[in-house]
Amino acid sequence: MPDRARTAVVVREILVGTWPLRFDGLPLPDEALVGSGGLGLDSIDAVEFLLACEDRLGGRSTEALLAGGPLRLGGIVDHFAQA
Amino acid sequence: MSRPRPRRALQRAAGRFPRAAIAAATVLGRASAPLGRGLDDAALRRFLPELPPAERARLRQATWIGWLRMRVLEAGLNSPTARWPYPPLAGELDLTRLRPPLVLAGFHVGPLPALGILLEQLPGEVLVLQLSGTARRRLQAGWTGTEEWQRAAALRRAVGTLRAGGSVFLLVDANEFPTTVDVTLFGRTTRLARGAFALARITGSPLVPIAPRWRGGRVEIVVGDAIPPGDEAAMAAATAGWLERFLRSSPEALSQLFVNSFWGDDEPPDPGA
Repeated sequence: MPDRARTAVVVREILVGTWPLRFDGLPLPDEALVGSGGLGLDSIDAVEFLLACEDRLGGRSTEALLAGGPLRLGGIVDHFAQA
Repeated sequence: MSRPRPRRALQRAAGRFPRAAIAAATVLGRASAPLGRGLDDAALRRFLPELPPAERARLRQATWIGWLRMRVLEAGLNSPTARWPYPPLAGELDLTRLRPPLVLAGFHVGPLPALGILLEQLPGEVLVLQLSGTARRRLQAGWTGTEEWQRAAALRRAVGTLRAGGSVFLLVDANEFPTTVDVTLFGRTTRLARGAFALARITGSPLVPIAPRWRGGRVEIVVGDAIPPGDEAAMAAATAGWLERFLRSSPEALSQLFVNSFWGDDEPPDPGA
């Protein structure tokens, strides 16, 4: 089972690496919403972020995760940590 | 407000006798044309200022007849008794050019639900996003929703369909979405929803614009050349160019919904003012 702390680091690396001007140096708490009111990713950015996580962390599709309602950063970490 | 009785009767008939009901809608449309129904004359002047008044009047009548036929077509699609609710096809449908995975881009023009004729015959899985009424038979229906996370969920599902070798149909709307790309359409800047272009880019799938138009009581499905995946702005410009050529050759396919979304909140220039 992947370590949650390690997964959390990788998820944040992907976020900052994809949008360094937006997120570098900012606090990125688990409870932050991915979309408006949080990180501010639009629907297309959010999907590209999740696809990048799937590519890097492997395995689990995020289709079901997205169908469950507004996403939080910690929810994404949990999703891949449970893979 | 209740619907006029003749139209209700036609919509009921559409479930059992779809083709006869569409023919009857044509007759009803012609008979009721003097009532001045159809696409707003000011809208026609703004889109096609070069048209003489008599031609605009003819076009207005054509949009009214087309609208009535489309309501009948929708009723047939929603009826559990209609085995094949579509009108006859004008010309051949060349499916050999359509090899999945494809992003099929539609617009609020012409008898939109008639695109089901093509979508139902495509090989492989077909996911239909946002087009109510045509999600029949083997088509998978997906609702894009109104919330950001719902749109993300629909987009992620569409990525899955394309990666599995299927095709995705979705509407390219204008002006109302947070994620848009600017194009020039009918001489003005318009913001098209990015979804279809982003989906093509992310999955490396070609994008094919498609639109239906009436040919008498028959329907023709016009299929554009595949636009290779790549830069979203370039794909959007090619799509807008195709759409403008389609509408200039078939202005009767203009709809009030398209006109409204096209102009957005801006006051359109009125050449008659």
